[in-house]
Amino acid sequence: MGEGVFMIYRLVLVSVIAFAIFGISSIFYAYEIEIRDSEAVILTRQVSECLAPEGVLNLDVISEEFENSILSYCGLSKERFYVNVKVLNGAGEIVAEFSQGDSGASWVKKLTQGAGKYDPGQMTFEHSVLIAQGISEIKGRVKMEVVVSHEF
Amino acid sequence: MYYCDKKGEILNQVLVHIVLVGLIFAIFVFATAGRMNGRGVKQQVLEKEIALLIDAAEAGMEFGIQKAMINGVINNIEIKEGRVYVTVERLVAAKGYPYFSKYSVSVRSEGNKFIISVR
Repeated sequence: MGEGVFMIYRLVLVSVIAFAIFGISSIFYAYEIEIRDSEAVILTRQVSECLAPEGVLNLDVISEEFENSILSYCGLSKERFYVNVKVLNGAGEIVAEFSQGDSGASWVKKLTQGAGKYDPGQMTFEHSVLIAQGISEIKGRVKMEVVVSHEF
Repeated sequence: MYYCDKKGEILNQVLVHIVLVGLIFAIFVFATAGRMNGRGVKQQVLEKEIALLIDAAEAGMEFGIQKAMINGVINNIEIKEGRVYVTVERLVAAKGYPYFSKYSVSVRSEGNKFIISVR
């Protein structure tokens, strides 16, 4: 009887050790396919087309309430994303700035660089546009930063 | 005589022990292999590729995905609450993958294909 109880105890112990070994190895060997950089590229294009269709950014159309919710303005999902758009005039001065999401995502990107699974996707993009405000149209540039965080 | 019996008993016990420990390890090896085998990877690839296609698609686009292909058999594709769920070789998707398209997305089965429409 005593031997039997001891054997059960030993088997439980072996099971716990086996569970720990294979549990940990399955976490480390799980295959993760990284597409966040591609998502950042697509999102950059979507936001760019939304703000400046045909290459003209009309500042009168985008109301002030969307300054901090540019993804909502474009009708895009806002989970996991940080978008910052700076509209610059010919002299390089900021005419308008739009954003949405957690701005901390960009420094998290610097912190977790090379951390594989948790490394956010990032895209910075700059292109020229015609900025329309009132009746005037000036040449300017749009500087955009998009960060796609890990999905927890 | 008694000494010989005791030795046999110990050997028997050790053998039973080794077999049981081997069985426990085999169960865990198969469970781990199941988690990391090709089905899970195929599912992840399909979910992420479909999510990227949806993200990049314009309104009015449709794309077809073969049910049986070199990468295995797709049993089902579901799109709900902004996520793509793909069942590959009867491996049901647990959490899917999110897409961010602003358009309405739907999926239907048509012959040997799943058709995903973006409207």
